[in-house]
Amino acid sequence: MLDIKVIKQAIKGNEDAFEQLIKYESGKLYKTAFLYVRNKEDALDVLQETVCKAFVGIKKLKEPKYFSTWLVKILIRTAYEVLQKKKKVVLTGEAFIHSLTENVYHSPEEDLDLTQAISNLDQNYQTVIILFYFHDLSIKKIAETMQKPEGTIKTYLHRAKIELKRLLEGAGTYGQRMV
Amino acid sequence: MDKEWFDKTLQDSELPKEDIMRAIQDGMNDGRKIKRKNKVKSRMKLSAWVTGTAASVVLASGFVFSPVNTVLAEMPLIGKLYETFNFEIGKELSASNLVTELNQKATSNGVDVTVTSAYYDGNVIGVTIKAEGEDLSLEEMDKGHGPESGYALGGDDREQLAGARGVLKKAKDGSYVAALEFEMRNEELPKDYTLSFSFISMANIRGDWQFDVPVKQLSLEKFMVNEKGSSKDGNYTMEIKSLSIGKATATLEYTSTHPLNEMDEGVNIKILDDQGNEVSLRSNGVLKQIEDQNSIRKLGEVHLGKIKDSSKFLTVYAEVVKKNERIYLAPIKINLTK
Repeated sequence: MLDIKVIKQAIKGNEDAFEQLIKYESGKLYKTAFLYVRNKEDALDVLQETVCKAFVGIKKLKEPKYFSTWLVKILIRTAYEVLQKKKKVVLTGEAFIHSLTENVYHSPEEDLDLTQAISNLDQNYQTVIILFYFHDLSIKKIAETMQKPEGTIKTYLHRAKIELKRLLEGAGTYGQRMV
Repeated sequence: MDKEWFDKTLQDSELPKEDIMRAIQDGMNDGRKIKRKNKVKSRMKLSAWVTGTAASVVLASGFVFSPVNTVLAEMPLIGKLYETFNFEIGKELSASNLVTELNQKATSNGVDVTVTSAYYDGNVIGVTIKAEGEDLSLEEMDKGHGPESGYALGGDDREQLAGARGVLKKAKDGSYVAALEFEMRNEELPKDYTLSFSFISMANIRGDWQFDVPVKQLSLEKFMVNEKGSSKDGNYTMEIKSLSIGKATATLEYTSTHPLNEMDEGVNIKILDDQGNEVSLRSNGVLKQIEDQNSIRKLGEVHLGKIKDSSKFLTVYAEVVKKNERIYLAPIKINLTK
């Protein structure tokens, strides 16, 4: 558990306290970032950027108890930004050919990969799944984090589960069922 | 797909611990850089605020009075001049005959520049000038690069006194006229002052016209206020120390207290008189910032326009503006009856 006292110190500008908190959460943060961007380098970038944003913005955190959700919120937003940027990158030459062949060769094993499956979900579904299963947040907390009504979150979660199951079972990807 | 399965699947992936620690350190270093930059920025904001008002007024007046298209009907009287330039303080003072007429001339490159009048009210010194010479022309000025106002003051921008610079206008007799305001920014304003300034260009002619204009401050009435207003949670407080009322201007001195680490927020102020009329706000700025263990104290000055002579009291409404929210402070009443 995170110590509220330490969080309060971090909010007041204590850098050691901040570092302690981030280190405590780092594993989860990295994994969450990985779920979105699906490679080590980008996940580390997302983590670094998140730490930077949190470091600058922590003084504005009003409720210490929301530190974790606040941090995840920043991380998710940063991950979205990185993904968005990557979409805009125009590949040329070898990189382009590589990316083409990479897409063409799609091994069935890869389809089984959970991170791969999650990354194929709609962004809202992605976030709901990550927050619910991975960060153990309640529906209420997820609703707060995503700033959406609880009913919407329940719907997202329901649909996301169905979608994820479908992806993991291989249906709809290349017309072949993997299981 | 239950929770355990989910956890197990994700736990399988290995954590690059060293890389993660490095990313954290790098992220914190980036954050430190941004924080430092923000601090410099907010310090710059304070000084830019001074020149900012000047620049914006020049821009605004340039927009309203295009120097080329309008020619003043005649060499206007001083009051008329302030009216044309829409300089409220000069207008107000000349209506009460509080502007001193002058005839201080400087000549350079065949151009005579004359300071025709001056006043000193509150923290504002105003002058009007007239330029005469055969080669003067606003039309031939390089619009892209020439000074917006039609003239340029000498000296370092940062050392000049801030204030509105009216755009040079052509009068019917062929001369060019303009009005300028200089804002003093001192905790103690001298009663007698000599305003030194120079022009280095005037309607497309370069030169050097220097002036030392002695001015005397119009009488001020100072009210010691020492009233406070705080936010509901008590985190933000504004204390009004004093109000100095000049003939057409007024200055409010205040201290605002904020929690530490909240450098960025600003304070908005609105002032109403007992009739519900809003007192015009000329500028609001911080003079000094003092940090102690728990809070930041900012000493600031608000410069106001004319306060009606008949006003019995003023009410100051202040709000702290943060990124996403506004915090209202309890209104502060200033009694003006002695």
